[in-house]
Amino acid sequence: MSEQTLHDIKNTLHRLELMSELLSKRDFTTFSESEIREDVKADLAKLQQLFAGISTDR
Amino acid sequence: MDKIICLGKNYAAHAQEMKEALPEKPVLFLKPPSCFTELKENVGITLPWSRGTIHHECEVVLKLYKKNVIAVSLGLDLTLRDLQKQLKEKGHPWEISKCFKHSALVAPFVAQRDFADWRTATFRLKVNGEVRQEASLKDALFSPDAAIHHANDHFPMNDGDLVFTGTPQGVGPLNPGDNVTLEWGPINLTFRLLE
Repeated sequence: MSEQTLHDIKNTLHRLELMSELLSKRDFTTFSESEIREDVKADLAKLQQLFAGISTDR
Repeated sequence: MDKIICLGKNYAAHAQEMKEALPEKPVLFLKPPSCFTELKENVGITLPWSRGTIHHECEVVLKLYKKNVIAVSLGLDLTLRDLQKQLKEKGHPWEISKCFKHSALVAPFVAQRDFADWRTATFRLKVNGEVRQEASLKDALFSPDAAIHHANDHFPMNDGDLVFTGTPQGVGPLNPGDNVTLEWGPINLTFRLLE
């Protein structure tokens, strides 16, 4: 796995963490709930894509 | 978090006490995430006392998502002042005076919905019960939005980045044994400095 993939996974996980914080606190001051949930959906898809791209061949 | 973006000389009275000119644009520097420590009530913190005078710089701290503020807190941008002065005099970079363990101490973040007037509320730093620093973000030379905009012109911004928005006047030394209190809206937290 490349360093870039690892970096992208870490960043995406961190974004999801931030969004879970906003949702759990119901803080929609800056972003609406639907905006945040759309971002969550997009990031989960991105994570799936990143993991699918990790080769396990030796 | 990817990085901590810090503003220098963002309060006129602080620039004056440091005998420095007012900046035309926000002055920016970075701290790595390894400097960050989230404070807890009554926690004991040990600082590198053997490296010279350590000054407190009390600052409003912003947490960003998509280049917008999503949470706020109050923190200390700690500075090895003697070392910083020596490095400045030689014209050298002064990161080593700003980047050490616990040099970015931050109280737990507060959601904006729980602190509606954070842009105008007075924040305060007390050391052993004595008020050392007191100001409001409205006294700053550059607003949070202007600072974020300027940082975005110069750095690749990542979600979760923190912004230390600069310190007002009253910076001064900390010592082992001090009890330090941060007060701002719903934040009221005291911690101890250990030997």
